[in-house]
Amino acid sequence: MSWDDDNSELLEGFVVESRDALDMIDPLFIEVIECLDEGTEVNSETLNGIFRLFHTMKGSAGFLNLNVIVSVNHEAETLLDLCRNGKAELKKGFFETLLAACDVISNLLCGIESQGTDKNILDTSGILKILKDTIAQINDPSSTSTTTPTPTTTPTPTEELTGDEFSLDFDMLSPEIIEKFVQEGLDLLDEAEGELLSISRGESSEESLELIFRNFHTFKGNCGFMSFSEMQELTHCLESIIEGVKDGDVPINENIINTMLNTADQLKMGLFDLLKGGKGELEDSQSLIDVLTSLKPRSQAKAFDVVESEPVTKTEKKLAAGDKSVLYVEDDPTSRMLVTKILEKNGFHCIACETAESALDVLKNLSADVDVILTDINLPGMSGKEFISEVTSKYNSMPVITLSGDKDRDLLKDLMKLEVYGFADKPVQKDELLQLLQNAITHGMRKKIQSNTSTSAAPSTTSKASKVKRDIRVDLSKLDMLIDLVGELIIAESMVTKHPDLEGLELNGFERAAHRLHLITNELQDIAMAVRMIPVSGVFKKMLRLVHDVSLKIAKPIKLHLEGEDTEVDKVVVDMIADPLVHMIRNSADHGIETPEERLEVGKPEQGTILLAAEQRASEVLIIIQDDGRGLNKEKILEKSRANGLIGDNDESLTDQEICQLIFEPGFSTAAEVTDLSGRGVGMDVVKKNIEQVKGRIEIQNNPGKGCKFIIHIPLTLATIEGMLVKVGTTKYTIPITSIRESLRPAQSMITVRPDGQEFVKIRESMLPVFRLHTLHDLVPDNYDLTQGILIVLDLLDGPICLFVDSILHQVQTVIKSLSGYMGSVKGISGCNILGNGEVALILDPESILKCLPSDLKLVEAG
Amino acid sequence: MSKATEHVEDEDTLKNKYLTFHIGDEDYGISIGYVTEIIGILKVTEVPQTPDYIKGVINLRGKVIPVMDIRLRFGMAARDYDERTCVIVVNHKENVVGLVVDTVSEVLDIPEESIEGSPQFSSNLSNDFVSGMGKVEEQIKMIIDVNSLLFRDSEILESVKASSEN
Repeated sequence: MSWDDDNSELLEGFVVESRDALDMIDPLFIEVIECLDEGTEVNSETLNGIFRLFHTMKGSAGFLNLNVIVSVNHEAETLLDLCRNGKAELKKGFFETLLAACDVISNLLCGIESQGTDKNILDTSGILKILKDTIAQINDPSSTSTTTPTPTTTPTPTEELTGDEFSLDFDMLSPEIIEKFVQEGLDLLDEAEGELLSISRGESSEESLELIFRNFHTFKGNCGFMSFSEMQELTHCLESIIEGVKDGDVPINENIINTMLNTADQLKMGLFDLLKGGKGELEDSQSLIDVLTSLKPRSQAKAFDVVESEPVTKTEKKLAAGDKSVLYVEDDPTSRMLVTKILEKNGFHCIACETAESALDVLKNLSADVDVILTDINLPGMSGKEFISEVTSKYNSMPVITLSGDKDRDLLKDLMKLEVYGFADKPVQKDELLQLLQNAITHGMRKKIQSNTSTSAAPSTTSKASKVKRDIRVDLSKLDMLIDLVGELIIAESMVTKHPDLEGLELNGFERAAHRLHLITNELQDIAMAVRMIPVSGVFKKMLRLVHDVSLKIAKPIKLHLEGEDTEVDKVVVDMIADPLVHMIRNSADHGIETPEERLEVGKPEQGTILLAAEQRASEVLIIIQDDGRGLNKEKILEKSRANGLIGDNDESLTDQEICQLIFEPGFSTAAEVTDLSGRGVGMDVVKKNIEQVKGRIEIQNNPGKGCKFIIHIPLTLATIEGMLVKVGTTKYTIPITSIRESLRPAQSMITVRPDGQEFVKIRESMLPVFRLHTLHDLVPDNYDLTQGILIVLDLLDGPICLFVDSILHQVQTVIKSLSGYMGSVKGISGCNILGNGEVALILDPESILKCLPSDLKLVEAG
Repeated sequence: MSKATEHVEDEDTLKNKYLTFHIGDEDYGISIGYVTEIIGILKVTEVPQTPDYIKGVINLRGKVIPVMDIRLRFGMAARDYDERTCVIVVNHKENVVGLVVDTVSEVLDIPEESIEGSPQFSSNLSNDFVSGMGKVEEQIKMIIDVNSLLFRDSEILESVKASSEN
């Protein structure tokens, strides 16, 4: 499979997914390393989680022919597998290596994004060598014989080992399914091959035989499910031989191994043929089968000997042929006979059991799942209901059909809850039953594929599975559009329900309907706004890795505590705080936390702690970064600031807060030396800029000797503004409420006019200059008389001014929209908002409003 | 319906389709490729510090877009808006702008060969914005050059233009 443009979307998806996976891996690694540090036991689920993520990534990469990524992932996976199987003692070094591997992968991903391939982006031989060496080190002492452990010794993760013995028509297979099948098949064969090779080198062990057997078996199951009968048959032969070897019936020798390797090659050829759109036919499968059969211990493999003890055994071996298998539980012998016969006749493989208990045994012992379960409800011993709940909890992808004469509704309801796929009434119609079975099998298969693909990380513990958030990726612009439309809907709603034509009418029914509409639109608006909100956990989790790396680099043990990761913030805000957080946490680690020696000296624990917390308070989100280090040194800051000319030499009037804020000035750094981490005095400056861009501010609580706490205040969303709606002539303006100090209608006595025409108003003891908005914006006001209009006192950086408008309409909370880019930026206007009646109002930018004064009217110093 | 529109409609003949509209006594055409929709005139909010032909902004279903009065852009006398006044919403280089015209008439197929270059005389400012003269059954439709309509000679828009070219 090679790349072309059509694949770029797939590739993009892969990059995004892999990034997510890497993001998920990092915290897991940190967790493991922490466990190792503390000497506590590493949770095997965590290791499995990491393994699965690597494995998934490898699978997808293999799919897309990204061989470099595959190779790195593969080695990482191998190493991990050794770790989780307990073959290697867990060492911190392993995980550092694996973290490095993650970085390499992440770099490769960048390359893929820009170049569409992972080749020639960077040299991965270094990391591969390290990984291989590590693996070799682990393998060496454990294996008795020669060196060169093949990297392909990874047993497949257990979730793949449940054979999928489904079958369906070739036409039903989408290319994706085939690709998936081929990919998985190649993996399985590769692994089996690796094991075979190791056996040929004399490293034969029970385990590798088991693995080969399982791999062949899984592959066979897959072939059966895909209806590739030739490959299936061939694999079946392989399986039989391996079984013979296991049982000691077949002596293992070079000859057999070579034959098996050849067969595996043939199978691979078949797989490649499939990828090219062929039917997976093999060249000379018959001759191979003959050869293999001659090697077989007995003429028939007894892959399913476990179930031979069950009442109906004669058809067991047929399972191998990939029939659709039905587990049929029925206590009535006549029905059992009859239905079994019907099913067998119609190409189903039927395992009939008399009781639920025996059926469960069958299920447990079968090496592969059955496709569908058909069960009676009234059974002796364990009831059908109990049986079903047992089955659905253990084998959740197995569809269940009940067959009963009972039509109790409550029972049906209970069964529905148990996710029973279908119900058939006794006496059953043959066609109906067959149809139902067929549907159920397709359904079960789909479910199985889903659970295999979407959550290849499907953990066995259901509690964890339920925590997995389901989400989709949506273009942000689409979301914005949605929010726009919802806004419009609300406007349209009020245009209809408050339509002037309705005035004075008694419309009870209409009022009720309108009220209902109002409730719905309100909820819709809330949800539309909530859609943009995402939890900060993504950004926070990245910091774990950062602290880990920094702590290694500067040789200070530091632990990062996260709190309130679930706090949700506007997407844009989350993106904007990522960089500042990196800088601030680096600073805390590098400058804030003392060296271990210093810490011990002052009686602090050796390990430094940084707290990263988020919480929502009213309409703000607080992000808190707190370290237990030495705190900010006021004297040093002042000294540095003076040296850098940030403040005057004799500036003694600064408050503590003001002094602390100096660290955010560009070019400020107290570090005596510039390290590769920090010290250039750029970091905090960037922090401040970014935070200001999202209209946030930073508060510092300095506690010399005990640590320092930075609190970032950020508005919950950038999308809304609270403002006062005012009118000048026919034009409406929204003035941000934060800039308004007060508003008043002046009396004539308060007004003074300077000879140059500049008007002043005396408010309490101060004289404030008056600016007429209609003059500034060249409008025709309702009146020109100051005493007939309203003066709005605005708090500007340069001092308060009065803005003259016609009248105040009301307060608004509204969504900010930008003025069209076509018009560029208009002085004095920061954007616009849409009013309840659909009109557009301009949002005044108080700070820049005076800049649009005609030059001959420039503001004269108000002093 | 004119003869022209009876031709088989090919996907790629979109470029030969023109939305025609009147301003004063003259007919104009604008390539249909630019046009996203046609709406009746809405309440326009004036925006300060803009050229007179930018009438202000309107609320197009939650999207705020600027509107340009073509009459003023062409240097013609302003005319009061009535119920026949239309806004043609065009999208050019990601700029969505509403064009106020007297009335909109129909979509015509004007083949390339029946469009002649605009005669060169510069007595009229509006000539700048006309890229050709389309002949449809003895009638002349002046083809609007959307790019120059939106961007030419507009001091206030110079900066935007520059940044969009970068």
